[in-house]
Amino acid sequence: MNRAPDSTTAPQSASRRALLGAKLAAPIIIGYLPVAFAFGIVGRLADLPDWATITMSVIVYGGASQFAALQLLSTGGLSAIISTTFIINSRHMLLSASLGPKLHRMNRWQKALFSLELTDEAYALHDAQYRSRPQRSRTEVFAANLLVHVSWVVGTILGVSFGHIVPNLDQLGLDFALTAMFIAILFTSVLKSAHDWLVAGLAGGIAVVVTLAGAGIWATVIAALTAATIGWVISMRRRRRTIGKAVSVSPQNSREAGA
Amino acid sequence: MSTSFLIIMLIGMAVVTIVSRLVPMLLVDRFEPGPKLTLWLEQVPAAVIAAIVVPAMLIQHGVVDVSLDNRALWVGLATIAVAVLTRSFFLTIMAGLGLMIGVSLLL
Repeated sequence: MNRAPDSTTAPQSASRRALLGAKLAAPIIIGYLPVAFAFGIVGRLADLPDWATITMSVIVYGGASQFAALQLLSTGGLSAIISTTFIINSRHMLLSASLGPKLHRMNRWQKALFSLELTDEAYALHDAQYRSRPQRSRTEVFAANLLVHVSWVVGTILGVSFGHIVPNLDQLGLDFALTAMFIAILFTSVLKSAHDWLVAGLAGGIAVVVTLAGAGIWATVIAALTAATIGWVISMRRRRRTIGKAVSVSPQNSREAGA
Repeated sequence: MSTSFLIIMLIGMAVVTIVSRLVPMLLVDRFEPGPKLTLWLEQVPAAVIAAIVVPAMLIQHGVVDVSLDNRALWVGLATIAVAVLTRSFFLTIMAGLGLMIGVSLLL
């Protein structure tokens, strides 16, 4: 690899890169700890053995799907729990495909390892960071992922261990931590252009409508796919119009533009 | 809930989640997406996150709730204001959590 002109953005030593990763992970950790804590408590309430609650946070590592599984434990069978998990987490397919091309410094195995850590929040963090610094160090990226994952597990362990001490957990609204985190992601890094606002508004509106219509766990995926596709059609038309203008200025390009 | 039920449940949940995260990553690694697919993928972040946030704020117990009782909505709007004003991920989460805990303790 050529010496990249990014010495100002990439700290020199591995430990400093890892430290930068930790710094970036901190806000997510602050959001994860209370939500994972709440998950630990709800696991106890659902009569799930502590080892299973903690193992879920280690190997599934997907907040919304974990809470849904606890809800289904009393009524649903295995297939209901597993298929619900799949539907809820299928949005990660979109996130994974959209972040993949930005990880050009990683080999296939590193990409695979990275993808296992791809929660919504980790996605938002890395998406924003890769936009401003495409040549980020892998040490930094993996350090951030590891710390965030560990915080999710630690929060769960604290929840099953000390949850009974906290009275009226429900009233404290700890689950709002997730919403606050998504708000932070959306309004500090994702919404950059008027077009982004349009896509977000469409997705939010469609999600509300299909939820009210009874889409249940499908709502997120349906709304996201529909809004992304509408946004894509608009972008394509805009792009074609721009190309059309370029062609009328320089007719020799018309063959390329038609392709 | 037998132990074998729980083990199968955990492995099943982990497998479907890992497949969702891993397979698209490997696909775009093997087949580089063209400009059209790239443009579609660029729409994804705003679409996915808004599709999670907006219902979480607006819908309570299956109906749209814009009354003062809906804390997620009003604390959420205040959190959005902090996000827009400060542009800080960290401050936004602290403000959102702090406000929600404060409101819950006071009311």
